[in-house]
Amino acid sequence: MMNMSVEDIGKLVKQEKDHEAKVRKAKEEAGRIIQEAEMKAKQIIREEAENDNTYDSLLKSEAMRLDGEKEKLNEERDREMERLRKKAQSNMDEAVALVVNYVLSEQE
Amino acid sequence: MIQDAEIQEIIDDAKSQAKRLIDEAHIKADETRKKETEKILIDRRETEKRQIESARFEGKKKIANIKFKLIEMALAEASKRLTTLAEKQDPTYNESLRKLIIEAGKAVTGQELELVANKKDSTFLKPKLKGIEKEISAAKGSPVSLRINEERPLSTAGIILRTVGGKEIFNNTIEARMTRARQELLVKISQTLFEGTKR
Repeated sequence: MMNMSVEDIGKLVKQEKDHEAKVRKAKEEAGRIIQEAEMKAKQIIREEAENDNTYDSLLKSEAMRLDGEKEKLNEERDREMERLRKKAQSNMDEAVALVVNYVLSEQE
Repeated sequence: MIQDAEIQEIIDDAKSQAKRLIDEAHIKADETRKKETEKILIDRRETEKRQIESARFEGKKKIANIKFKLIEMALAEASKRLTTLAEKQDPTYNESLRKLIIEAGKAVTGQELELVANKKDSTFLKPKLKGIEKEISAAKGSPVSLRINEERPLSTAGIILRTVGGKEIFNNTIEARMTRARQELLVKISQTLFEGTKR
């Protein structure tokens, strides 16, 4: 064993105490860093869950797409109705004659 | 120095743990967003599918309605034309009266037949009655007698033929024939109107 003076021992004890204090402080700092991170993580998750903007815009774009589809269907329907009207208009005499002939002719 | 390294390690560990926590939170938030988005999209697509189906159905209904209206227009126009022909005693109409009586005469089984028509038509038919009677007899293969009952003339065009005593009645008024035309010609009218021969 090395011979140490009381002074040296005193220095060592002080160094040890200083180190322990630094470690304690570092651990406290580490705890604070982790606690802050945990809070931030919770906040990130909570904000995402509460974030309606993403879904609102998603719903809006879906609604617009649906409106577009409906519009297309309505246009197709209107075109078909117009086509039928025109066709019927040009064939009306023929259809009327068919009925008149049926009514005035002897049926089997 | 070794001691400082130990302290630095504590801080570094804490920082890397903090980074991991934040990274995990972002991943979890992304997953939540993806799941929610997917759920919303699935719900939305289902709703959309239902709404599109409903819009298609409504469209078909409107097309069916317009077809129905146009067919009704053709029938109304035919009815109007027939009324005009009858009122004017058009030769086509007068000739058809004979056919209508023969058709009815062939359909009833009785031998003694009575004809009811409106006054104008009765007047027109009277001189032709014997000839029509012969035609019915020939068609049936047995003699029939045909007379006009003028007690209660029709107010409409066409004829009603009945056996004396009223056991059998054949309604061949234009109105009754229009009803039959509506039942029997609906498909043909539709084809003529919407397919037709004119392109």
